[in-house]
Amino acid sequence: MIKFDNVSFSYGKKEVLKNFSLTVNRGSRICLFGESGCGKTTVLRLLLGLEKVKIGKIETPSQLRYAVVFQEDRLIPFKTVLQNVELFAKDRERAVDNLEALGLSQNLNSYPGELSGGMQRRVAIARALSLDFDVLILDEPFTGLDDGNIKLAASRILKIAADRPVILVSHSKSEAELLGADIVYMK
Amino acid sequence: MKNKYKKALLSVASVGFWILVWHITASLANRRLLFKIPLPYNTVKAFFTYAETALFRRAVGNSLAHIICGFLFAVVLGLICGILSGNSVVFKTVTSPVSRLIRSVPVAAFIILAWLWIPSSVIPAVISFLMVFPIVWIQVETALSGIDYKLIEMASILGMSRKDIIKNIKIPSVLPSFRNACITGLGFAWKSGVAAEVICNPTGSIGALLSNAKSNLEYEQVFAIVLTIIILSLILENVIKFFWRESR
Repeated sequence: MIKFDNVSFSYGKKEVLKNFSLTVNRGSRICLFGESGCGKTTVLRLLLGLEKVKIGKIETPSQLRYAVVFQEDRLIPFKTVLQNVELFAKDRERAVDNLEALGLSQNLNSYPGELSGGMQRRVAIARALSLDFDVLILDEPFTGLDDGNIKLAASRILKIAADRPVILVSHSKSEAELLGADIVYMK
Repeated sequence: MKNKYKKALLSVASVGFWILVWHITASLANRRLLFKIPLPYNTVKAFFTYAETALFRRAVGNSLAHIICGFLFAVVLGLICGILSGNSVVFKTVTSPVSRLIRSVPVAAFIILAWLWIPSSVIPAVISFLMVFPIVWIQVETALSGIDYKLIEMASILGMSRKDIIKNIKIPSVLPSFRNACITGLGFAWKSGVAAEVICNPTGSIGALLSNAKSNLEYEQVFAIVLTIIILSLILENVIKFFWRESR
């Protein structure tokens, strides 16, 4: 479904990826694992078209729809929690369902600035899960969440993603295990 | 509710206090013949006498019309230039000397310059425009440039259309700055417009009335006109604040 074929990438003179190859099949879940600066987020940026591939190639079906939990929450500060999710959701019901499932039913009308870091993270996860998507991308999605909320979020992700491919970026093998993802080690 | 009542009472008391200071100062100055200051009562009396005349009402109408016209034109053009320079580095670079020049030239110099070419009746509108235009322009430009690009990137990746990004992210981000620019700008427009009228004396304007009253040493009338200018300034400020609150 998604194929990275010998992709190399540099930021200026700093080479971040060298001959990187990866195949993500329909329904597969993979975790890009490695130390900071090894190019995990760059792989996602290349896939999303935010960086241009100069060496190697990435093959994807056309019109692939992505749902992304970014490394930062990227919530719109002047919209309420529900509006933040509803703006991108297929419908309001789905937005409310996901927010409630992630324990945010009491905060639908709050603004992001009124929430704790962990709550904001859950809103970002709910936003991604409420989209109509073909591929789910999670860039360190559980940062700032306690163990209970990590389990809650992971089970919701597994339920919604179902047989659609998930690409996870994480420093934690236990998070990869929670999502049943195959680990791809990056150096 | 109680606090609101207390606050209102305090505001009235503070106005009362300063009127008392004015009264005492005027009484002392007039008694010792240092210089003449009209008493608050005489000023208010002159104001009401003046307000009944057609000449005064026409002057208020003319001044308001000219200055608001300049203000509105500045808001529209400032918004357009702000949007263009907030989105285009080329436009920003090419036009930045213009905005810098307008901001750095003193208002009195602009009035004299404008007087070289423009009929005196139009100068207040032009000066109001020149005072407000760069304020709106810079505020809108700064607000647009300050939008977190990561929000735009996120919205775009998650499939939001360009139109919806403008509607849901860009406009709400710019609106508070634009609102502040309009509120501040209207105050500037009014003050600079009246200053232009005082200098250029266009027939049938508040500034011309003020200038004539000063020439004829009509102290009560000078104070009454200044009082009118202050009242109109407060009314304009509150009208625009009300308008923004209603439109939110």
